[in-house]
Amino acid sequence: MMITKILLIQQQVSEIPPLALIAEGTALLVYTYLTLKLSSKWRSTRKDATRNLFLSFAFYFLAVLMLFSTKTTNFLTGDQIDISSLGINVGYAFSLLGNIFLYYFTEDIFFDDDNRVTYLKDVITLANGITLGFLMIFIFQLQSAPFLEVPGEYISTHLLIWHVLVSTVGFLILFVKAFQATIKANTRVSRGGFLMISLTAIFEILVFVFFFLDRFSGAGYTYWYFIAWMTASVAGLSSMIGYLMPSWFRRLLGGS
Amino acid sequence: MEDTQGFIGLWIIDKDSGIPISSFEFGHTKTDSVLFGGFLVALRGMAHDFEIGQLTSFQTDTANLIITGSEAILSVIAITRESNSDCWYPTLVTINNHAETFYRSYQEKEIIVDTVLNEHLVPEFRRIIVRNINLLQKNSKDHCGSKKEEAVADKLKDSGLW
Repeated sequence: MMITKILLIQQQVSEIPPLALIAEGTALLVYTYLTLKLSSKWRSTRKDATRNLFLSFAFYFLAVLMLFSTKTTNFLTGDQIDISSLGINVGYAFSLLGNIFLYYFTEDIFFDDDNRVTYLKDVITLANGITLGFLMIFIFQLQSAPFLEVPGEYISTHLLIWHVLVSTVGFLILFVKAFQATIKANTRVSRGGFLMISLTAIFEILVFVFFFLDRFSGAGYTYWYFIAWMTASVAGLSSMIGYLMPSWFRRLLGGS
Repeated sequence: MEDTQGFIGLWIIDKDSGIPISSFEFGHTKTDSVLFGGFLVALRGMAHDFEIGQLTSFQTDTANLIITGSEAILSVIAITRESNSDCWYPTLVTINNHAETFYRSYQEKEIIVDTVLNEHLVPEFRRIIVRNINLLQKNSKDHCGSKKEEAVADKLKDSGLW
């Protein structure tokens, strides 16, 4: 009862619903587990692909951690310490670093020397680098026209559109390659694993799309915000199944 | 000598104990299946203990040995170093699936396997292997192209992910 009372008071003071913290906290738990598992996989194999996947999820984890911790600080302190706008920008910066390493992983696993698209890796790195550069402007409080369209807004709309587009390209490549592998796989286990990886790519795209919709659906916390965080957690779970292939999933598909 | 398209031998082994369930080699059998089964299970155990991933293949100076497994069994195929592993892997998976189904049905009936399974499985193995040899002879290596996706799966396994 007392906790509920405190939460309601804090919600009124900070204008942050406790459900937002629960949604972000759930995603944080999923990404923490995933990052730890991938770190142990990388330590035991020392393969480039595993390192890139680990780095990708480590950056996604840092993005979620940044958003959760700054939002919690805002929630607990009311509006005395307003650092969640900083958290959003740093979170986006970490997420794009995650996207870069996820694309490197896609190239490591799904491309051979004979079907690799020349310079695509460089183009994707550069495109994300541009986003990172602009985000730095916001992070270091150097906002100025034409980057900040509305006074007081926490992230540039143009930059957000650019980030969604660049992220979608990387995820679409992963989706197409993983889906092709799903169709052509010979075993049920491989088919299931590739399908989960392709679903992961779709969920990741949806996360960015839902955040984008939330941005344009009026002030405050819209339902897109909660759907986005729920999708982020689902993306984490499908990544866990698709990339780590737990034994229960293998057994479910009749494998060893 | 018969053209086997690089096929040397096939062994089906109980995954936990290493006890041979069945084997197939053209001509007279040269391999001691009991020794081979024990050796393979020991090697897999070592890979597991050293945390260096799953044993999926190994090489000698003349042969490539490819391994696949399911719940109860391990299937190993030996082919010459010159042969394309991709052209034999789907055959190995098919054989493994057949053998697993047979083995489990016999385990459920609590029948001591060994000779019973050998009688049932060897003609089936011969049929599958000969079919692949014929395919390889007819189509050169064209039909191995579809194996690219298994190569992707192998890359994931090699990276310690699957």
